[in-house]
Amino acid sequence: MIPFTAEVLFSLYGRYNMAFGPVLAIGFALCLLALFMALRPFAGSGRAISAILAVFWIWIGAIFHFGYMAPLNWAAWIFGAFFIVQGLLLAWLGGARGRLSFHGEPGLRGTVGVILFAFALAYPAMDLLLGHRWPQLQFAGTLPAPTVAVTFALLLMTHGRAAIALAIIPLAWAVIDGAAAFFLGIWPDVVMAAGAVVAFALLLAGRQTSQLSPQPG
Amino acid sequence: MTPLAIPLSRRSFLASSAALGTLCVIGDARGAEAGGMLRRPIPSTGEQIPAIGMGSWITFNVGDDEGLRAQRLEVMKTFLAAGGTLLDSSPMYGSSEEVLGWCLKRLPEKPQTFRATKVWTMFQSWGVTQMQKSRELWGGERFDLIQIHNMLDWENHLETLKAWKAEGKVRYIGITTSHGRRHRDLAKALEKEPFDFVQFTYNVADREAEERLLPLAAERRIAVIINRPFQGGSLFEAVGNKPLPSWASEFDAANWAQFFLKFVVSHPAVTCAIPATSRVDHMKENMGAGLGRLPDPEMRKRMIRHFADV
Repeated sequence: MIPFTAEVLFSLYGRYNMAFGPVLAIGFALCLLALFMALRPFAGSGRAISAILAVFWIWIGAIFHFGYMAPLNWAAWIFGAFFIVQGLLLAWLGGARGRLSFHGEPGLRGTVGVILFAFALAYPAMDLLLGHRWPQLQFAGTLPAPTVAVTFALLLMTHGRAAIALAIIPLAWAVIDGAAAFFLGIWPDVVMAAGAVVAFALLLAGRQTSQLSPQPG
Repeated sequence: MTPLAIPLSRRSFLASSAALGTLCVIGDARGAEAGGMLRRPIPSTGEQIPAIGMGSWITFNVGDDEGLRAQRLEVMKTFLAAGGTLLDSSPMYGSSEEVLGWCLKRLPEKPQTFRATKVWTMFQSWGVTQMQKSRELWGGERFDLIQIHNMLDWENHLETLKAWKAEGKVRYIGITTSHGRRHRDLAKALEKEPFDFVQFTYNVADREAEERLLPLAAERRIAVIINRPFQGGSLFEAVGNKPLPSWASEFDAANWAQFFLKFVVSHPAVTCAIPATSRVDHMKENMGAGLGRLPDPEMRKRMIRHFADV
């Protein structure tokens, strides 16, 4: 049961964005930087991208969920905790242990990844189409739904068990948020949820493919 | 999850259509004097309260938005001006308690209110802390009624509430459920313990409570508060653009909101219904249900048949 309306939710986005204006720009810029480093990898770029994603998830958990959503929804304390856990996992697996290496992907994974990334960056435009105006817009890097889309887009540019492990919390959030968004009439979040499910399926399929591939002799 | 979509344009259309050529019982809110508003006794004390109260699930959960809070203040003023007193909330409802308290502080005169909140947490000690926090949020006055929300850890919280009632820290104690959940457990609790109030869902589409809970409450002399009288708004979706039947004027219902609410409060065991709204015009419609005649048993059957056909 959703304890608030879409009007109240977007009003909250507006107050949050007004409070952290410069951070929105930095977050957006970091999204673009992460994409650039994924498409043009270099030594240490995997750790840098992981660190960027970690910062996003920890910020959203601590500041957005705990600081802004919790007064509206008791479940925000739980969501915020899981967002922080996700950030710590990214920092550990991707940052400290270097288990993620990002690079442009050919084929379906690459196509879905590009679509998801473009979708994430275009979120403010979709909110405008919904009738909202600045500051009641969602930006990747600082609000959950577009950040989940960015995360999946980047995870599709890597391989291995670490990517799948790091997709579980985003998938869970996407499904929960998508279900709520369905009843609130926030269709971009519903599309985001569908995209997350597709991306997760591709991650799983990619793992099965690599398991079936002959190992170097 | 409860759909929030209420066909506002259709509701407005129906309200306008029904008002034409029928007795308009809404009128000027100033006409809804305390004497005109239907009142029902609380069985344990005989105290009378208005039969239409105000819920705050979702509707008052607006956070720090000053503009939305100001709108809710107007809704509360309309409610109180029309003779309402019972305000119901819960810590589960996000910022609703805080917003209610904010509104109460800004009323031009100190109104007569019946303040009803809930305790919703595990463990007795957490419950004490939560109820103290609720009191601060509402503005510090003693609660008239504290209810155990959705029966969560009810036996532990009941111990606290019984003690508080004996000490005069709360006037009435109650227990709640909603959506038709745990009716059997609730009935056992009502049979076993001395609650003053019980709250559950009942409306023209969901009449399960008629089988056991409503008769039990009457038998045990427990006041009944009804939540979800519009089934979360879905009753309006069900009637769509259909006009109110002409015979609704026989019990002074001028719109579907009053049709649904009068059905609820016409049950002899019901003390108060608590529809929730964020709109002044809808609040006026709702409060109109406390005026005029109520359907008798035969008319109630007709209402049930009509709704089933619709």
